[in-house]
Amino acid sequence: MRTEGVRGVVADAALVAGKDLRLERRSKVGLSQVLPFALLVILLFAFALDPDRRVLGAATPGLYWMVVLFSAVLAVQRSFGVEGEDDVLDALRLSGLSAPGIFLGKVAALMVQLLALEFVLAIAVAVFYGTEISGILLLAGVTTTATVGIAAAGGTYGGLVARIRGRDTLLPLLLLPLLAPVLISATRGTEVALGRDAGPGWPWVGLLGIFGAVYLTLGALLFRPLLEDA
Amino acid sequence: MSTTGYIVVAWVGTFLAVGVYALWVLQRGRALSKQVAPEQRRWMKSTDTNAKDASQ
Amino acid sequence: MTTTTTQAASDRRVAPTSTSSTATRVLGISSLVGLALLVIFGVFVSPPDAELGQTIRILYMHVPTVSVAYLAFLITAVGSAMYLWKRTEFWDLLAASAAEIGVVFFGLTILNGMLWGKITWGVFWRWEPRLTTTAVLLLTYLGYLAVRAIPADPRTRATRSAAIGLLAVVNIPIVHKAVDWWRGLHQERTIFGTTKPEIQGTQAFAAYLGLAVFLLLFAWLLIHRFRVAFLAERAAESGLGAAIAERRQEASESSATAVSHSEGDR
Repeated sequence: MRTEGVRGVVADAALVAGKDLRLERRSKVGLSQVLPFALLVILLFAFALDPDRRVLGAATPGLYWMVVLFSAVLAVQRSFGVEGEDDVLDALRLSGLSAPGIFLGKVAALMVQLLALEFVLAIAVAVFYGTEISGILLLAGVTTTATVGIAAAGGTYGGLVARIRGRDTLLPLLLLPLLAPVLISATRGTEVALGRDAGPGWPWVGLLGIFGAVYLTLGALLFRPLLEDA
Repeated sequence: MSTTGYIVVAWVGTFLAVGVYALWVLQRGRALSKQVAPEQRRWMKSTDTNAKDASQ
Repeated sequence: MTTTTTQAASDRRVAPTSTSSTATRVLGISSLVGLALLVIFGVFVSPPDAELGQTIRILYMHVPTVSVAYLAFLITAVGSAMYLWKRTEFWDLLAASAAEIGVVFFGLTILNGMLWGKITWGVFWRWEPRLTTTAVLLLTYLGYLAVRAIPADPRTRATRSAAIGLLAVVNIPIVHKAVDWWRGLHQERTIFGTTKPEIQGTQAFAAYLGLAVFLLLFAWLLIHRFRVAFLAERAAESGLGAAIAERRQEASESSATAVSHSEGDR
């Protein structure tokens, strides 16, 4: 039975998000692959940059968000790789779930995974780079809004490339330029929160919020044609 | 290179790039025109070719 | 269409052997004349700027190319939206043609910007707002072209491209804002300096002429590129149609021989 209307979309989203998160809980790919990858990159940055903590410390906000972006690409690949392998995407569509609902469900699941990752990474960065965490409220604002945008853009492009054979190289090429303003805004906002920059931090949260809202909306609208034709 | 040099590069480079691109487009146009049957060569009306796919 | 003794004449009109037409010839010739005028005024007649010096001459190229690029991507966005709505080939081909031209002109914008920078700052690159934004957007639209190049049936390719066309265009103002705030923190001079240059007289004429000429050039390029895209689709279709016809021919021939063999056995 087709579920329509806003309540239907939310119900569909909850269904798809639940499925994705249960899948993650069972397979633990995020835990066993994406998180170690992120921690590995944190380690590698320490090797690549001057072990002298001054340089690392100054670059920490930018490095943090770069690791988040790279991990997000992996998470999106994983999210839609699962679908592509068994044509689960088509099955979802034919089951009567609304396309915006499927999209929002995928985005929600991505957000949960990314937020968990970001939390662990923050601890890692505090420990390994000696970062002092401050401005918790601003940090929370930056992190949440940035993650919404990353998940929304990732969910849209993930659906777009799901059936393309060369999608592993294509997805970063498409997603990362789009996320450039997210990287800029999140890094600057984080710098303000950590007390490294004197400027106002909340305008960055505002910009991130706009990015998130725009791509949530656009992604939801584009997901039906992408599911059907892409 | 002097200031004048860079300005020359800017103008020549721009004209050259646009010219090469334009020639490439024109050459492709001629080559494709030979391959396509005469009655199909010019866009006359909105061709709803995607409707054909949809009906399959 | 009725066949008459003037078939040859009408054939020549209906079946052109290139993508040219009266419209493009008019546009092309006026572009060339305009470009000649632009060289005269931009390079020779107009005086160097009080603030920018001779580098204003690079701006006579830089501003038109970036304007054309943005116009092109706007057309791509409109074409993408219209395609998703109407699903007709016209909008898809228009969007794709405009995107390719946009990428070419974005590239030229960066080239001119870098040359201006070399004279003004002594280095080819600085992370100033305009250049940085253009670089990000260029990469974005290169992605559009990359997806466009993936072999797929027309509807699939068109849908994917249209999605990217829209996703990319809404990113433009966001990138602008983010980069402006970011580089503004470091007091980076924009490519126009901290104040807009006061241009007048022949300088203003050269600037506006440049804009007008490049717009004519853009129209000329877009029409030709669109026609090339259209022909490419027709060629691909007829190629496919010919292959299918061949298979059918083979199939009917082999079944005919099979029938005659079985009849011969009886």
